[in-house]
Amino acid sequence: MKKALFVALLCCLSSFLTNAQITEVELGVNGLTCSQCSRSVEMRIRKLSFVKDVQMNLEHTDAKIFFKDKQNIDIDKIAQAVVDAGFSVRYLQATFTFNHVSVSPNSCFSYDRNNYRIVKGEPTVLNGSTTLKFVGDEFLPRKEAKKWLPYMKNTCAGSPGKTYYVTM
Amino acid sequence: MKRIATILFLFISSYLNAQELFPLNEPASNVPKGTLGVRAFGESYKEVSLYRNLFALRLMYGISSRLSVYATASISNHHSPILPPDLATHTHTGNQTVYFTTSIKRGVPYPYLYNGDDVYVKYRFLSSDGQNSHFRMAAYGEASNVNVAHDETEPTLLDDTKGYGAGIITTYLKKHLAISFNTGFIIPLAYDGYAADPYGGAEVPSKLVYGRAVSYNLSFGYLLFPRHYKNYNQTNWNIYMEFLGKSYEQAKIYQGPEMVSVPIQTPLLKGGSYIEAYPGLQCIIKSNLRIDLSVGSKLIGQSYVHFYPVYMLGIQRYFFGRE
Repeated sequence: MKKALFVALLCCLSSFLTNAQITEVELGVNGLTCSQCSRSVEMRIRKLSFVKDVQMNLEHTDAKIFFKDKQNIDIDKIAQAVVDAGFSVRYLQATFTFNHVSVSPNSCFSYDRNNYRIVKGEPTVLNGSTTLKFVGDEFLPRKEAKKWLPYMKNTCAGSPGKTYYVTM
Repeated sequence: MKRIATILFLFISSYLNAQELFPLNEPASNVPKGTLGVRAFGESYKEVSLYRNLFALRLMYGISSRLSVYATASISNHHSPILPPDLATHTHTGNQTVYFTTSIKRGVPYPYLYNGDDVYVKYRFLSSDGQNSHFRMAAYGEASNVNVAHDETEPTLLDDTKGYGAGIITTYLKKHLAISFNTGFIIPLAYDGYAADPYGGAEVPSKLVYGRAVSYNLSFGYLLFPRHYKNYNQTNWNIYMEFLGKSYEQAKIYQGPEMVSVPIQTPLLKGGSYIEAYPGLQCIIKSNLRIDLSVGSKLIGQSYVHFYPVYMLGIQRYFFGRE
């Protein structure tokens, strides 16, 4: 019994011990119809101090964003850069690196100074490189974001940063 | 007319992406936040045996994602330094002076003059974006300190008349079709100065009150090349069809030491309305340097502020700051 408790505690703690950096963000941009517009979005994202490189797919109007090492990656600033260029975010997903983190719907984990609440998905153990999709007003078209509102009432404790809501 | 119908059909049947970087009309979209745009543009048309030219420089800045501000300065050889002697003339009947307007002589050479400055502010208040599509609406306001001896009633804030104006822009863009409708009003302020005396005497105190106007512009555009975007280095070729229209009131002229109201006879000073058609071609180099050329002709009615065809050339670039 003691052993089982110890394993459960370890499992729980491990969910708060993931300090690796997000390795990549992929986002779709809505409203783009010209390569000059895509360039405006790319330039706004490139201005962010933690961004190392941006690969824009002009045909599908989505972007892959890579980061400098040991930086505070601010997902909100990425979404805001798209808005500042005059467009809107269609989707935003980030690649995390996990080390055996147990998650289930409505559970929380901490990662690189921020908290994340899983709003959808089967209970699982996240390990290695994993992509999670962000939900909320800043990361989805308005109508789609509305659907997630009931799942976004509770924040998470653990890290001093903000709580993001993600799906698997 | 047949040519226009063919071009319209091309727009509707196109399987290519739409473009809203209209050479002449403003779309509801804005300059990206923190980005400086520079546009140099010119207009030229032949008036009798000489060319009237306008050169303008515009600085554009994205204050926020929704708010852009433009400042434009221009020079042209469109205007006489003072109102022309044939704008209004007079005869003497006994002790009475009778004023009347005449046809202003066209094709008279004028020097290049600095017209003044125009400030334009645009606020996008509605956005509905989809993948490769959007519906947007913006409101704009414009004010100008242009103070030249413009001798037609039709007001244009950019280079002919001081005053102010405002309006609404609606842009709809769906893969195959881009449409933008732009409508607003112009409240010009009067030119208060002098006219040359037709008999070679002292300059005559004159006040020209220009007609208020409503503008209505409709633009279509689409991308010819490339058919599929691969990278920023592909030169983009876009074609446009823009319709510019205006309705304006009759002018009022006051002249002489007692500022007598002068009856208006010439069509240049009477109220009117028109729609012009401007087919245009645009190329965008490295997804930033934009060069556009449009040629305007009259479609319904006509404008008296220029002759046809009107050639418009523009070159524009964005500066994103630290890249």
